[in-house]
Amino acid sequence: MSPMKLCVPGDKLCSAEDCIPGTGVYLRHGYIYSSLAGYVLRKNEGEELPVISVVRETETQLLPDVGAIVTCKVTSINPRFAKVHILYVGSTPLKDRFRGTIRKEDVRATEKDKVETYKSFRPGDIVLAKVISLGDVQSNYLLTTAENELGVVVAHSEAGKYQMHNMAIGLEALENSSTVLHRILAPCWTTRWCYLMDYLSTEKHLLGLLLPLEDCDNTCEKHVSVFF
Amino acid sequence: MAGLELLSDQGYRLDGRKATELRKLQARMGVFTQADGSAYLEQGNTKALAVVYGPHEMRGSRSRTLHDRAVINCQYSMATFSTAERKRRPHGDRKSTEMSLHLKQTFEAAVMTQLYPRSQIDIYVKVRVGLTLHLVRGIIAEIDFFVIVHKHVSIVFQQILQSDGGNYSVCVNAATLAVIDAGIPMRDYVCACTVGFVDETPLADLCYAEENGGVSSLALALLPRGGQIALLQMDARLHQDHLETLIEAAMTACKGVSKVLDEVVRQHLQEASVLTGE
Repeated sequence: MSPMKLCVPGDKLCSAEDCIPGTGVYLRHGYIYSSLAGYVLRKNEGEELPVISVVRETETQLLPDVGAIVTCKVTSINPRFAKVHILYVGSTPLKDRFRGTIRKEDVRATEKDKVETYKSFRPGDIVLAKVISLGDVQSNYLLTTAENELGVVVAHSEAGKYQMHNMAIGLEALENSSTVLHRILAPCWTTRWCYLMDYLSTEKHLLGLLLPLEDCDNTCEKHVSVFF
Repeated sequence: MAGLELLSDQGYRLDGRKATELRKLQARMGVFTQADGSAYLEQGNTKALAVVYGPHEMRGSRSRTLHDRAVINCQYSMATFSTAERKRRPHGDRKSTEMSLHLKQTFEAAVMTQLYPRSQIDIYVKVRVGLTLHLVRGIIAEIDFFVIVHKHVSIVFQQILQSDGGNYSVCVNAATLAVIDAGIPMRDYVCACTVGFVDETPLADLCYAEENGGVSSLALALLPRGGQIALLQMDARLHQDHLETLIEAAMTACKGVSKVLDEVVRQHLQEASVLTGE
């Protein structure tokens, strides 16, 4: 790696005509100055000017920003909204928990008024959500799960038996295993319902049954086929 | 007054320095691993420890949240054994509150708070005298409310000396290093120095004896590269003709301090990069 230049806050890096400011720098009177103590990184985006930014080895505290995908844990529910603690922003863990709210209208994109928070979230669920607003003085971050990739990722049923996994991971693990029949749970996003499926690895078939998580236990008998 | 001459005829002060000479400045960054940023700074005999946490969600009264920037919360405290007379209340008294407020104003000018709306940055500074941090392997010590988890640090008590002047300046310098260590973006360093005026001569970096010896003292916090003043504080009597000279002397002294702090930061970065193998 080529040696990178060290800089400290207040160092003049270059003029605003040579580079576009990135992170860790600020613009003043037509010049770009560093605002962190770290290394100067110049990246060529391809179009016009390179982007100049200052990076440190250790990442500083990241704040959830509008549009960021966050991982959070449900702490309490209410007929109108669910309160969560934000644990990760993207893939960076936060040192401190931020508080967020998922309103009833933001749980899913269709049939918004028929949402029942009790059926969608329970305290202790891990949810993937997106920040829609920083909120004002009184409220916390506002989050939404009304998109395809968002929703409950890990949940425990009342019996404590089944845990929902990411569907893709579950299927991958099965492809590699040798036994014939598996019963897996695949989450249906935005709710706590899941597919209880029998996977025949020889035939690569998935037979599935849509059930609420609480009813998933070993005595389930009915099967329906699911088309992929 | 017999004996104590603040500025001798040859131009030497009480501790043997010349009028524009600063005290010896030593500093170390990244002293506590559990805080987001920390620094220890010694200027002469005044020693300060600064610790920074943040930015994190607003704690305490949520009504103080600002929608467009971060709130900076400073607390200044003195160790009970640090002054000649043992202080009963380390913080919460008027002087500490005033000092905390000044620190807050200073750092609000330098830290780019608009990057962190609705959050809080905590800066804690503790001034203590008669204590030196030695890096010795394997000893974990607990002192006051600081639990030191960095396993290579031990606290060794020396004899108690008097709290040696220039408290505000030392706090600001230590806090600057701690904020840089925490990776919080700042426009520039903040360097501070206390200057006084004796016999038509400005004295840079006052010590305790000079501060209490009837010298008009002025504390200045400067952003050295732009030459911008973050805070100017004075509560003594000074003729207005001398003000210009005094501020000039203070700015020169601050630029001297900034050179030393710059060295410390660059060295810390180099050491850190060697450890991570870049």
